[in-house]
Amino acid sequence: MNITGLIHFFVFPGLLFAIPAGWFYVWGERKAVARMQRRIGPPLLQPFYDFVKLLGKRTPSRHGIEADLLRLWPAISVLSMIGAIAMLPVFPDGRGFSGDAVLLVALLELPSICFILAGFTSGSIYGEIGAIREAVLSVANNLVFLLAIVTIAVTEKTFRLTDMAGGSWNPGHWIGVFGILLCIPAKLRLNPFSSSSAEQEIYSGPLTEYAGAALAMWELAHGLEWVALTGFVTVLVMPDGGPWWSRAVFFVVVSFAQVLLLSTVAAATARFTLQRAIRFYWQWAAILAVLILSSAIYMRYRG
Amino acid sequence: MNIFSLIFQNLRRGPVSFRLPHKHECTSEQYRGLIVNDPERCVGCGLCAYVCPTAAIVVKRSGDNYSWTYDAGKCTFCGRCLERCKPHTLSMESQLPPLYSTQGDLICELDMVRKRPVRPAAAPAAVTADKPAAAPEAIPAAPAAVSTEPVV
Repeated sequence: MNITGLIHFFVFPGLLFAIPAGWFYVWGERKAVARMQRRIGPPLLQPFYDFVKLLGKRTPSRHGIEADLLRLWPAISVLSMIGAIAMLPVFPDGRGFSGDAVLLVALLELPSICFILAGFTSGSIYGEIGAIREAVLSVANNLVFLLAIVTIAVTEKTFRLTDMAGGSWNPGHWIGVFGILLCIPAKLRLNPFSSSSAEQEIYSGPLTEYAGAALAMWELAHGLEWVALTGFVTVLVMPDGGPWWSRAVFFVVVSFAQVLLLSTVAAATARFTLQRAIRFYWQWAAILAVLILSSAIYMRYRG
Repeated sequence: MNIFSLIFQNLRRGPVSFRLPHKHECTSEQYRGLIVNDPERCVGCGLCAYVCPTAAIVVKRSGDNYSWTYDAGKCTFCGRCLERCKPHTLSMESQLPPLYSTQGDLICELDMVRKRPVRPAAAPAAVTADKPAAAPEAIPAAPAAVSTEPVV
């Protein structure tokens, strides 16, 4: 790994940027929803305070492999998200390798898998219900998510992130971006796709048995998921060229605009039942995705 | 799309909640705030501690001295201590209790000297025979659960 790669991992858009940005996006979402509900909302540093407070909590002791696994899942989630964020081609420096989009998709999916495993490891009935819901939702939304990415890849004729990124006038590219945007609420467990972490119904599902530092790691992973997923969409629509600072500003501004958009959707909708969420993704979005994929393949072989 | 117009209206109107600690004063005089004891008038009977359902008030005695301790963190602000306080030395603040971050920050402890109940002067025998003197109302007897000392 050269010095540029290290800077990407540790500075921007990696660790040093991603962690405060994750807290900022979480704050933005909570604040926006609060204002839409005529509440004053949390102060700017509230996610940071929550994280520090959780780190200092004493938790009930668990023993055996179960305790280790419960600590392992959020740690994997945090690491995978930092890796995914570091892979985002914010600056056109020719990094990456052919097929790195597949690795990015895998890294983006790891928190969801860890969330499911945490639910089953916890031994709580609420955790298991949440894990089952998350698994079903994951299967539902990933069909659209993967098809959307494949659509962009076919349109741009590559699975290399650097080449997939950048604004394109091809309609297939933008329909693919729209498909990814459609899946983000389910991946972030936002309304209306929040049935797997429903606070009032199943006590946050897999997080029911979590407390203290492990829960702080989950909160951090959630903030990083915001950065990774909105950042992924941002690099796909970011225009080519321009100085590094304008690209960095574009990355932050467009990502935060997505946070506000998703917050508005979350505030405007009620929680879907599992059946309705599946129907949404499979019946409508999947049909749409198959159509755009077909058109993208047709366009490729025609031209 | 009524929900979006509602959201827009909410954004335009601004929040109705406020951030703590806020500057709003409680206007109701009947508000049940913190218990306040007047040490000048308290006789240390311990009835307040006896009736307190959450043991927020504790009275400990040693000889002629006693300590009156009030833990606002345990208090349910039911007001039973005020009802039972015969000398009416207890009162409740009409303001919101202050915010505190450490457990026990609002504990109030008063060390006082127990006041001897004042009995009325001995009435003449003739009068006593016709009309017995009324029992002193100001100083009720301490319940056995609180104190084992005989009330003089």
